[in-house]
Amino acid sequence: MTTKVTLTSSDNENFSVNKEITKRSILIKNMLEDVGKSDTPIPLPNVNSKVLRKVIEWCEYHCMDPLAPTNENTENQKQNTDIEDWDQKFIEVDQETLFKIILATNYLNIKPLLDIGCKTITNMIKGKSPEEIYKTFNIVNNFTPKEEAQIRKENKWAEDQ
Amino acid sequence: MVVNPFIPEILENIFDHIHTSKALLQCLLVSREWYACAIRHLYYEANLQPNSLPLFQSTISSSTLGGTVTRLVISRKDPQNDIKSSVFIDVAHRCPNLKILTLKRCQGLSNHDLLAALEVCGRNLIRLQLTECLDIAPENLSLIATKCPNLIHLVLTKINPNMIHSMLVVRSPDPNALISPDTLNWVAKSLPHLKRLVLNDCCIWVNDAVIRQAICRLPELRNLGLAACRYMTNEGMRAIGASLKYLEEIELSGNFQLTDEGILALVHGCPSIKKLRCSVPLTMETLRIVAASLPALRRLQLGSEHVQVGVLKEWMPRVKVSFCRLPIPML
Repeated sequence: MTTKVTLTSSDNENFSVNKEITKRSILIKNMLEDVGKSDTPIPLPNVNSKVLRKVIEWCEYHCMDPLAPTNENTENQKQNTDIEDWDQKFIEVDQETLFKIILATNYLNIKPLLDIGCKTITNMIKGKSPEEIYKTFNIVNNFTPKEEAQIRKENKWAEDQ
Repeated sequence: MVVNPFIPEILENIFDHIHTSKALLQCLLVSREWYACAIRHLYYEANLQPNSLPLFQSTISSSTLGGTVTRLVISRKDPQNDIKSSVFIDVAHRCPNLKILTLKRCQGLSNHDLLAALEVCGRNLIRLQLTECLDIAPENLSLIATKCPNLIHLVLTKINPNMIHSMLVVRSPDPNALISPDTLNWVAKSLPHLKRLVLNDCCIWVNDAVIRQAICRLPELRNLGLAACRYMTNEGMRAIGASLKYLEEIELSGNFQLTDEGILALVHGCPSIKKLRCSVPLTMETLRIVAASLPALRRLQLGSEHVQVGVLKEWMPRVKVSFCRLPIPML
C-alpha cells in the first residue's frame, strides 16, 4: 500500500507525495522517523512552492536510484562534472531558480540533486576570469588591490598549469 | 531579495568539482568568502609544471599550506623546463600529508633523487604514478615498493625508454629471456594490498612468468594495465583468469600475441570485469561468450572493425564498444 505524506511550502501550498519518494530528502526522512505515523503536514519554511514542485519532480524521476552511493562512486562524482541528459534538461532554469534549488536541496539534504546544482555552477565558472565570475553571479569583490596583488603573488605557481 | 547560494558548505561542494589549479586560482580572487574555501582546495590537490615548483616551494615554506597538500601532480609540458631535484625533495619534506604523487615526463629526476623524496613522503603515499619519467633499474623498483608500503595504486607508464630501445632496436637475441620475475615478485610481496597496477609500455618488466609468479600474487587487484607488454601470451591470460577473480578493469592494447583463446580464459575467470581494452580481433563467437560471461561490462575496446555492430549491440546493450587502430607490431 502506498502511503502519502503532506509537505507544506513556505507560501502555504500543500503537496501530497508518496512517502518513499520524500525519503530522498534526509531531512524529511529523519522527520518522518521522529513523528512516527502522524498525519501532520511537514512544514518546509525555507522552500517555496515553485522550487518544492521542481524538487519533487526530480525525486519522483530518481525514485529508483540507490539511496546511499558508495565511497568510490562519490569519488568518481567529484572527478567529473558531467550531468546526465535528463538532469541537464531539468536544471536548465533561470539563475535565481537555480540558486533556490541549490539552497533548498542543501536544506532538505538531497545530496545527488545538490551535486547537480553545484556541478552546473562549476561548469559556469570554468574558463572565466574573477571579473567574469563576479559579474556572472553578481558578487561584490571585497578585496583591496593590495590584497589581490598579494594573493596573485603567493599563488603564481597555479597560473602556469 | 537577492538570493545568495554561496554559503561555505555550498562553495565547498562547487570547488570539489574543480580540479585545475588555474580555475581554482580564479576562484580565490573573487571575494574573501570564496578565498577562504578555495585556498584549501587549491593546495589540497596541487597541479603544477616543474618550472612553477620553486614558487610553490616558496609559498608552502612561508605558510602552513604544505600540510594541506594531499595530491601533488607535476607534469612537464615544456621540454626546456625540467624538474629541479633539490626543490622537489624539499617540497616532499614540506608536505607531510601527501597521499597521491604523480610525476609526468620529469626526466630530470634521477633514481637517487626520487628515492630520496620517497624516503620522506613514501610511507604515507597510497597512490604513485610515474609516466615517461626515467629508467628505473630493477633494484630501484624494489626500493620504491619498500619505501611506499601503503600503496594501493602503482602506475608506471613508459618507464624504461632506453632499455626498451636497446631490446627492440638493437635486438637482443632473446629479449624475453632478459625479463626476470624477481623484481615484480618483490613488489607483490611488499605491496600485497595493491588494487591498481599499471605497467603500460613497460615490456621490460612483463612476460608470462612475471604474470604468473608476481602479478597473480596480488589477489586484491581491481585494475590491471598491461598495454604494449608484448612478450605476454595467452598463457599469461590463463594465469590472470585463474587468480585475479575481483578484476574490474584490464588494459591489454598492443599485445599482438594474444588471441581469442587468451581473452576467453580471462573472462571465464574474472566475471566482474567492467572495462576490457584489447587489440585482439575477436570473432563473433568469442564476443557472444564475452557478453554472456561479463554481466558488469560497460566498456569494450576491440582490435577489429569487422564485427557485426548491430548484433553486438543486441548482445551487450549497455556496453560502449570502440575499436583501436594500432601500428604494425614490432616483434
